[in-house]
Amino acid sequence: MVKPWIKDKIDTLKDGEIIAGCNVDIEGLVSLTILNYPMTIISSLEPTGSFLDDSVVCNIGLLRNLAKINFPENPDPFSSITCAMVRLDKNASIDTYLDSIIGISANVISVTDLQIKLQNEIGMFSTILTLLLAVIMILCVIAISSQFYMMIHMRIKEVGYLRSIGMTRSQLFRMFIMEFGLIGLSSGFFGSLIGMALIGPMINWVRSNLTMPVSVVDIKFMLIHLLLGIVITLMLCLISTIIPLIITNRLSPHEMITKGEL
Amino acid sequence: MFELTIEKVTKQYSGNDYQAVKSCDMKIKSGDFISIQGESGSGKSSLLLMMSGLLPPTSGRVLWNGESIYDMSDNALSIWRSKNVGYLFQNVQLVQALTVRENMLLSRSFGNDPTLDIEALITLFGLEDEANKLPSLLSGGQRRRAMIACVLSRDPLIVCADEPTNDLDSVWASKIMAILNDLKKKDKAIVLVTHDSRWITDDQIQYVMENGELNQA
Ligand SMILES: Nc1ncnc2c1ncn2[C@@H]1O[C@H](COP(=O)(O)OP(=O)(O)OP(=O)(O)O)[C@@H](O)[C@H]1O
Ligand SMILES: [Mg+2]
Repeated sequence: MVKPWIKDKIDTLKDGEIIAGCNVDIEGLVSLTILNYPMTIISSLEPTGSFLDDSVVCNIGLLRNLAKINFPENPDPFSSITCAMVRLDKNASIDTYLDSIIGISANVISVTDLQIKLQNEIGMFSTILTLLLAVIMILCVIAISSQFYMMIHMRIKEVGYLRSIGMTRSQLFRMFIMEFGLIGLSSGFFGSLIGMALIGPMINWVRSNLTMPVSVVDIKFMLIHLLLGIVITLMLCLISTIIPLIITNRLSPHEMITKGEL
Repeated sequence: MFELTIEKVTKQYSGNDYQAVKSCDMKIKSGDFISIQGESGSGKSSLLLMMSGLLPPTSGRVLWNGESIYDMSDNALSIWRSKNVGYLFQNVQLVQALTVRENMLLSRSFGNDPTLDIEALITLFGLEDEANKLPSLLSGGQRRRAMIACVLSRDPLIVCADEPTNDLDSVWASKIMAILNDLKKKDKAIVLVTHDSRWITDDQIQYVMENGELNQA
């Protein structure tokens, strides 16, 4: 149930093993004694934003026995349990389970619900970010297009001359796409490199401000995004080259030359 | 042997209320030297551009051995231009980023003879010292000679020369006219546009252009 937030890979808790919430002060400790029983801290939790942050998680069977031994005057050891974590099967209904516990008035916090809620919120933010990204991309295409249009326009006389000595439209296309592709490749490379350098501090900042765990940046992630950055920039450049080229290529060679001369 | 036929070619530029070229007819065969004289603005350049496949006419047809060039695909027309028409522009055109020699090599790569001797052309046009310079560093006359050398690098079947002696001193102007005349012997055709009657000779097929109308002299 708490697995996404556990720092290490742990499937089961043995007797005497505990996991500490992030707010539990265990700094420097490897083991500690609870109800006169030595416990080993095998892991701690990432921040969850829930009661788990202030809790220590351990095996409930052991805890029951310890309660009986340590509070012999209390006939009902269950009354000393303040909190229990129950893991339900994937398809089990939380409501049906709650109904089946008779006589215990419990304050239920469903981690699953919490997760779903979080996931929905993350999903919403992702959508907003994606939309923003799309808008930025479109603006980029327009900006680069007009820049490339200017660059082609400055050379329109030369283009007209090249067409007059027999360069075909497709050869011209290839020439400009190679040229501007090279610009795209180099700017994509340097842009992505700068992005990579910034993403480390950015993720650290996000991690320190978010209760959710954030995936760790590794080399593979870096390389994939570097490549992705280059590919996307290259594609933006190509789209931005093709649009002004199509506009320019409609003209006859003579029109290109006279346009360039005025 | 080839034949370029101009059939009722008319040009009206968009925005103009008059026709720059009015229903002109002409026939050009290999070995012809055709000259077109006329006042400034009479439509000489426009006619020359249309017969070279560089400017689509408003109406009329340009036929290459019977095939209408403006009905060809753009690709076919480009290739047709590269092999058949060398156009000497009224204003010099060269690729500014390439040296004279590179311009000639580029031009040759589009032409009929990939082994054509570029160095011989450089010598013929007196460009030995300029061959490795960018066009922007040349004088007006040198630039014009470089453009003519580039066009001849393609070894085209027809040379359309729009005022080719502009910018040139009389020595070079005569030399260029002699070079153009020599092309006749190689079964090429030359169409010369000029308003300088010095270059008009009796062995030419002479035309006069007036207000867009073409008449044989
Ligand atoms: N691109 C253009 N757009 C509109 N009108 C044009 C264009 N080019 C030429 N004209 C017009 O067409 C007419 C013929 O021009 P053209 O350049 O063919 O004359 P020309 O005989 O070559 O003159 P010149 O001897 O001065 O070079 C002129 O009236 C000119 O104003
Ligand atoms: Mg003219």
